[in-house]
Amino acid sequence: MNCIRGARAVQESIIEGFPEADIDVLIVWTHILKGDAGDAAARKSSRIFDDPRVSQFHDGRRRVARAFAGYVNMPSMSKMIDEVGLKPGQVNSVFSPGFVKDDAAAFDLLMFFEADARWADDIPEPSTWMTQLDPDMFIGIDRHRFHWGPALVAELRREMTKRFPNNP
Amino acid sequence: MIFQFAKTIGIVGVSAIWMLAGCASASRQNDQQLVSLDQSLDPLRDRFDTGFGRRRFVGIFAPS
Repeated sequence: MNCIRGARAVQESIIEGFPEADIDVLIVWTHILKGDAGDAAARKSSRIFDDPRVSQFHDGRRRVARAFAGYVNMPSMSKMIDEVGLKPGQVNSVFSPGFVKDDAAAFDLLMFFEADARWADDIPEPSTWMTQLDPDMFIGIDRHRFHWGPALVAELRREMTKRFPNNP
Repeated sequence: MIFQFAKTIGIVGVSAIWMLAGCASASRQNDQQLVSLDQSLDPLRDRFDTGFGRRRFVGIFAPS
């Protein structure tokens, strides 16, 4: 649900807000919550976007989510629940199978890459990134990267304006 | 009267077929939009590098 808000913020601020911007938007739907299982939820949520600049991917095995976790200092779920004094059994029913015991996986993550970024061998480093994940809960996430709701839309617009100042 | 009835049925039939075709087309279009990364990250990496020379944005979200 919260993730969908993030995707809608992308649609509103980047796609609708900058209709002429020459930018490729790559959306990855990954499995975090129990309701993410299969591909039905990803297919449904992918309908948020309808623009030729958008390409969408289904990350059912959290390959992308794990690959980018290090850049954002994303804690593993087992570490998180340990820090708040919970047991895996108390949260397993909420999350996608294996997620709680798996390596750290990033989600609710929004990243900008500049024109010279390549992904030849190593995962490219974003020029800037932001997240909807509350740093009070996700210990280790940079507090200054946290934006939520209208603040996320405003931050995305601000970053887009820096890159595309002549947007009509 | 019979002619009018047949004409109405024809219009309704054609409209129904048109709508079904439209739905199927939209469904196919949506299916094509979602690329699986179950086997590897290559489809995402290739798409990313295809955009070299342009700015890119990557968002990772849970769909439910």
